[in-house]
Amino acid sequence: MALESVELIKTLFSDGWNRANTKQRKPIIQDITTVDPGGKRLDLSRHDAIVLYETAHNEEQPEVFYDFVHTRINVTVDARTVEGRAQLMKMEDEVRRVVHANRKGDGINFDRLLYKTRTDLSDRTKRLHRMTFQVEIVIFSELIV
Amino acid sequence: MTEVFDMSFLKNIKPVIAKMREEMIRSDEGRIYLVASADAYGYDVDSDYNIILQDGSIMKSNHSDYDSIVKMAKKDARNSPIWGDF
Repeated sequence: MALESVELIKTLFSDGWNRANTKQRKPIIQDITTVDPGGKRLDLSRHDAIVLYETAHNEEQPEVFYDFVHTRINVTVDARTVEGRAQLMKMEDEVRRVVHANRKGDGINFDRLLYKTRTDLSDRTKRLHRMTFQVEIVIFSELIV
Repeated sequence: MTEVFDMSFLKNIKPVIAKMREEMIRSDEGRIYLVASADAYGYDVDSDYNIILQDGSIMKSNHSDYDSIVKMAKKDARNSPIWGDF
């Protein structure tokens, strides 16, 4: 059975992240729904973080066939660091690299991976450097069972 | 026959959609943006969209982090894929 969207992105980043591109710091990659509340900023002093959450899930009906749908799932990739702007830029480049490296799909779980928009959400007064990226998973002609 | 549509209305609707997306941080659809923003500051969000402090109490709007959390959540929601790309 195909992986769930956030789990899929988590696997791609966990397997594909090259720590050499981010000053030997590999971020903790986690689904936001599994994070315990409170105290997360303390973790950022020891590790960078990539937090994932699903923001939209749409199904389109192809025109001819009844039994298939195209699925588009938007996942937000939320990159955080307190190591400065330069580190955030390195993380941004790595996020983009991993997404594009998987753009053709894996032949099992999804068919395309698209890098869409990014939003800078840094708060310099807190030394929190944060950027979110919209990544779209596309699954063509998924059989309705 | 070719019809020419005036697409300029899209320019006017864009800020309206952006505003709607910002306001949805206090709805089921957009709650995740508020959760993510609060999480970045070490806080949680309850089911009534209140930001919860580490001692379990509700963050008041005069808290030093409150405006930043809400502002960042709205900024994130503005680029949401909900209701399509504009």
